[in-house]
Amino acid sequence: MNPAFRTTFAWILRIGLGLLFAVAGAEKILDPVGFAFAVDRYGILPEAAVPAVALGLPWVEVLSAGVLLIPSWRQSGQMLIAAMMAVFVAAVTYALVSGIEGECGCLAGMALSWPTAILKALLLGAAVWLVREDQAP
Amino acid sequence: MKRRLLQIAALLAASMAAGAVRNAALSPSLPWTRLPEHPLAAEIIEAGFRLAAREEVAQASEAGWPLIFDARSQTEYDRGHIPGALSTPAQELATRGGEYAAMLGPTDPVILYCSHEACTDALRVAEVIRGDHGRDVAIYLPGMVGWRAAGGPEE
Repeated sequence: MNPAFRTTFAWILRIGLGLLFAVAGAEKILDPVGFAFAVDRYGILPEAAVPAVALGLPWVEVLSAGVLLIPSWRQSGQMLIAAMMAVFVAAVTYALVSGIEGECGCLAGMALSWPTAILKALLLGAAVWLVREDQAP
Repeated sequence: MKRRLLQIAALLAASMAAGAVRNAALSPSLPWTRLPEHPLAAEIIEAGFRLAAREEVAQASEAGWPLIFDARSQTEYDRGHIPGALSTPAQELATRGGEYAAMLGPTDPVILYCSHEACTDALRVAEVIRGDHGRDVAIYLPGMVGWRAAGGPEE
């Protein structure tokens, strides 16, 4: 791939992922109670752990998105975004296989569905590519 | 790599701190170690219904009385439901609401549920079948998701 195109493509992905995480995080920060019930619906975490995740995770999303703009912190943000996407893909897949229904607690009332899982898997692929891209010598 | 780990730890710590500050600004705050009562619970009580406990639903499922109504779609019902529950999809209320009410005697109690604690389908069906004779209508708020999570049987 042409290096200039590769750099531009990486920035498009970075900005896209950053915006997505910033908006998704902000939405959850505005409604932490609703997000807590969405997390609980997956039935993965014990109830005692749900509020801390519901209060902290949205800020991890927003801060990870924010540091993508700081060169010395960018790779850490990308790594966190990739890790979160991996967890989200696993959680949505688990929910679908377990027959859990309703909103996924992701963004804008998206439903738990296979298209949602596929979209998340694509975003995970983009995040992992960005991490590898910035690790390249 | 050490620098990356430190940055990631700093981001996680800052996130928890920001979450704590946000929680302090909430009224009421979200308890740190348990979930609050779902806002829909208050709406159910306000509408004149009551909340059904899991044990009550389990007893009704075993005894076949009171009747249990499943307000989810027919497809979801077919995929698995609380044993003994009857399918009364909220989606078909406009055309079949009268039929649902006719499944019950004028004062027969009934328990309803839908998918999960945030769905309003059970409440919508409850409004239609409440009748004029003070029927005891209870809603199992955790719904099928909560029933499954608690290890409840299904058919």
